[in-house]
Amino acid sequence: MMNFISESPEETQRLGEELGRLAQPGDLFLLVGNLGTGKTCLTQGIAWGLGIEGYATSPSFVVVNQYRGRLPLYHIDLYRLDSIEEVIELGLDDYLYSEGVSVVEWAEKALAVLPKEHLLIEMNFLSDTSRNVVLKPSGERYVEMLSQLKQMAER
Amino acid sequence: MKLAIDTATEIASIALSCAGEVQAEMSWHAGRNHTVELIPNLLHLLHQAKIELKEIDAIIVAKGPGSFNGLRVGVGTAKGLAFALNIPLVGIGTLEAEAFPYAKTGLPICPVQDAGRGEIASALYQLQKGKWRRLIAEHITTVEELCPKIVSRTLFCGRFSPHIAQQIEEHLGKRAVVLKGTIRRAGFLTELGWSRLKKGDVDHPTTLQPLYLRRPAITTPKREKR
Repeated sequence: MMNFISESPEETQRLGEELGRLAQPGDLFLLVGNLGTGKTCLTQGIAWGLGIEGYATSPSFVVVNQYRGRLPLYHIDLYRLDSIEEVIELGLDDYLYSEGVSVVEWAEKALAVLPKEHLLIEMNFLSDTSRNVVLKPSGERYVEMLSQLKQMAER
Repeated sequence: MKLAIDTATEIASIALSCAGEVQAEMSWHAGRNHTVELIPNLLHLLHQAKIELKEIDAIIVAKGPGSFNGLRVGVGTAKGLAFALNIPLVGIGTLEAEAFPYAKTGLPICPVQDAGRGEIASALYQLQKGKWRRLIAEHITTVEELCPKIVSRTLFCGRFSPHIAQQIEEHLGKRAVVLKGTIRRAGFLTELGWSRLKKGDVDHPTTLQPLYLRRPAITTPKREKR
């Protein structure tokens, strides 16, 4: 587990960017946190880290946005969905089990049907501008990712 | 004339057949674009074969396992056509269609489909005394879990990564005959469908369901009500 305090949207983006640089085919980031805690901001960073230019917009309405970078990025948002059945009916497996990188916002709505190996990222308010970001790895791949992230931070 | 549709994976295939014999067939890399490409290619195939849609008297469809969205497009199109033309519909397992072309080898045939994240979809078939049998049902597994179940010389087929092929060969040595990069062709699907149609063993457009191996049991989601 790793704890990170972000004092600004830019810092959240930078954390995302590091994650994007470390990402490998098939990686899965599950984002959990209230409106305004910076989930889309973090995803923006991940997109930049994957070499995607421009801005990632929230896919709340369309559910999935797809970007082409060093690896494909699937930005998924479950905010609009009400039940786990709806999530299953979406057919997200085609993305989650692909060679791309997937980021799922509001992942708490569907934890039971999402792959067990993932990096869970919990985002919470500390104040108007600062956020507490907790990174919880499930599976060897993500333990390794966090140790690489720590090495990058120490440099 | 029968129409067979297979959009279960990246390679899509369609075929027209008469009494189990293929009249025309088309296979192409559809990627994830089945929904856009299926109908135009279907019309093209009909045009090439000089066959009118109304001459089709049965539909055979690959029902899975495979890509969730690919299966929706194929099964949805097959159901719609069967319903509109009021003709029989037969759903055939994708792995069975994958294995069937090699039936005559007499070997147990193990079709393998890359299911992502280190997992595979697989099953086991064999032609025994002239009867085509399923020995192990379709399931999601890993190469490590599957290989101990393979006790005799077995033929592996399907479109999977070189890494999976290597894993199988490492685990099973000479027991495995690995055919790399075979593709499913809808022509074989029509043959399997024809043998069911002859017996009157058909599916119904309202009840045929795609075979999703990953579909979890939806009982009590681990989620607290907000």
